Amino acid sequence: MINRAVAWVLPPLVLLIGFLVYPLILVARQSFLDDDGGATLDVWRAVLSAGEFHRAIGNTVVIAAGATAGCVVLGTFFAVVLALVPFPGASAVSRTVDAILAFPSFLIALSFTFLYGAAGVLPLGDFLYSRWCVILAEITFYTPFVMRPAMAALSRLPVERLQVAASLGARPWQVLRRVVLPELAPSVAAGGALTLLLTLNEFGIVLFIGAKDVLTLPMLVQVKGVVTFDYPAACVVAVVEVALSLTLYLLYRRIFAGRGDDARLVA
Amino acid sequence: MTAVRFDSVSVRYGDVTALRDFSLEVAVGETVALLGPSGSGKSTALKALAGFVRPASGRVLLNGHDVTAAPPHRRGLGVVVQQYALFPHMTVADNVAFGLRARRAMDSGRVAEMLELVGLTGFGKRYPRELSGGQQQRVAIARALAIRPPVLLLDEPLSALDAQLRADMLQELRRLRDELPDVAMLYVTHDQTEALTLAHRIAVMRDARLVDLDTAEGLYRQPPSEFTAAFLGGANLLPATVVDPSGLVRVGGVTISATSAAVLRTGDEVQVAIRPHALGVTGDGEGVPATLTGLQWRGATFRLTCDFDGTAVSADVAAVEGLPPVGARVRLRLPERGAAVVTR
Repeated sequence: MINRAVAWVLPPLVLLIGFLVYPLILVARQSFLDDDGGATLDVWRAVLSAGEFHRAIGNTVVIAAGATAGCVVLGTFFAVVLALVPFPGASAVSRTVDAILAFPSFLIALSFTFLYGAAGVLPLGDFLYSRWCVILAEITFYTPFVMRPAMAALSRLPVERLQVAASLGARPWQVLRRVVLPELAPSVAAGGALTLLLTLNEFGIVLFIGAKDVLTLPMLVQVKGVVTFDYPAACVVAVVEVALSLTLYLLYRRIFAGRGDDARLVA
Repeated sequence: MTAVRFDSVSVRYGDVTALRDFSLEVAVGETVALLGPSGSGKSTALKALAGFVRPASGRVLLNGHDVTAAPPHRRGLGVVVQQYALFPHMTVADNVAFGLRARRAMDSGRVAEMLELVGLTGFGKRYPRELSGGQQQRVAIARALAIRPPVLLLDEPLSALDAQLRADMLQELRRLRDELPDVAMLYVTHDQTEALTLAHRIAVMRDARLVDLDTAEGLYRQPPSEFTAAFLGGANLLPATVVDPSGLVRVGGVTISATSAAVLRTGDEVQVAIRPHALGVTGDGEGVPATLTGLQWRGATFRLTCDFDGTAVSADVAAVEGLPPVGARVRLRLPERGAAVVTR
């Protein structure tokens, strides 16, 4: 019986270790080796004390936090409007949101160059190459990640609850604030947590926007590994990035452990 | 004094008319049950009163004021619905206080008073998920009453409860009704027992229309229509001929006494409503001939079904000893009194 179970579990486990864990171990190992292959902490010291690393980690956190905040606000707003304010074409809009989820992220950045670039429809000077543009692009792309679970939660919200709240004297904004938003909160938080994770690691949008001064951790990995061929330093940044993501992921799992439906919905 | 008045109210959902030309008055302190099958328009009438749907025509008046176009939060009504609609993220006390806070009239004493009224003192800090169905419904009632509504609307409030709990809650509602003489109640149900137990008057609805309106006893004893006779108490409708305008009718060769709301003329062909419990079934002896077509044990009684000249007749009897088997000829014993001529 045990042998049969092992036979089933072993192949996927080997594949998981071989294709995911082992490369990560190699990256981590590389970050502790010098040019001669000897063990050292010098690379870590050099990377962690460098100004560009501080700027990268600052940019990464600020962009991820800003984009997530924007996604939470916009995603909640759009979900409430689509679910609670009936208008012709609401279902078509909802389906369009699903379609955006299937697009590659760099497409948004590419479209921004046609919108806000020097020859774009709405040229905004240096905006296209600013941190704000990156945040806006990430909000545009990741808002559905909050909106979708929020809409799912709203579809489960009984209309009688809203009606009873109104009958008790609550005005529409009071119903929204005291009944709708508290019930949406777990779903929005789950979507927001996932968005934070994804925006921390976003690479395509930042690369395609091409903002020279907006250096993030994934961009720094690319610069160190591909541009300057400083593999050990690239590995250090990558390890920091993975550690940051894993920490957030574990936090996310811990917070939403008791809210299976919403967490599963976005995970 | 009139608390609620529907004045020829019609409600449409697209091409479907959910409520047609509905007129009704409910007095202060009165409980009126809207009774009818699914799709009869009873819940729509309640929604029109609460402001959840806008009538296509007609007027809704509360204490003499036209509120047809007023939003729900300006009507000040208490609403209790089938699935309780409690706010799951709030404690019981916060649920009860919801309306008071929304009106900036928070009064913790009032919250405690309401919880005491529904027998939930000490439950204030619990969450709805920690309560049974019956307790949740009590919270919903306390929440609705906390704002001192002049009218309490109850939309199938006991439908989600099991039979025993439903019976208990029905008694509770009856007690509440008696303790709140200033509150008019509109009670939507498809359950005749609830309507008969609670309501001073019953409005019977069918196909988006009000078909009959009278006191519970009046409708039960003298149903004005075949539909009401059958829906309220499941009366049998038997063809009869008027023998004497004073109320004597002949059913299958047997003459019985029947009440009538309309003037009878000798020789008129009419329908008489006879409740199943008023009928007897014997193997032989007196009564009209019929064929026993079914037998169903219902605990305290047996429900017998018979075929009487092509009409299916139900009879509830305490015992079936001595009865012939299903398919045999039997005698239906008609009551000397208690039958009612149905004019529509």
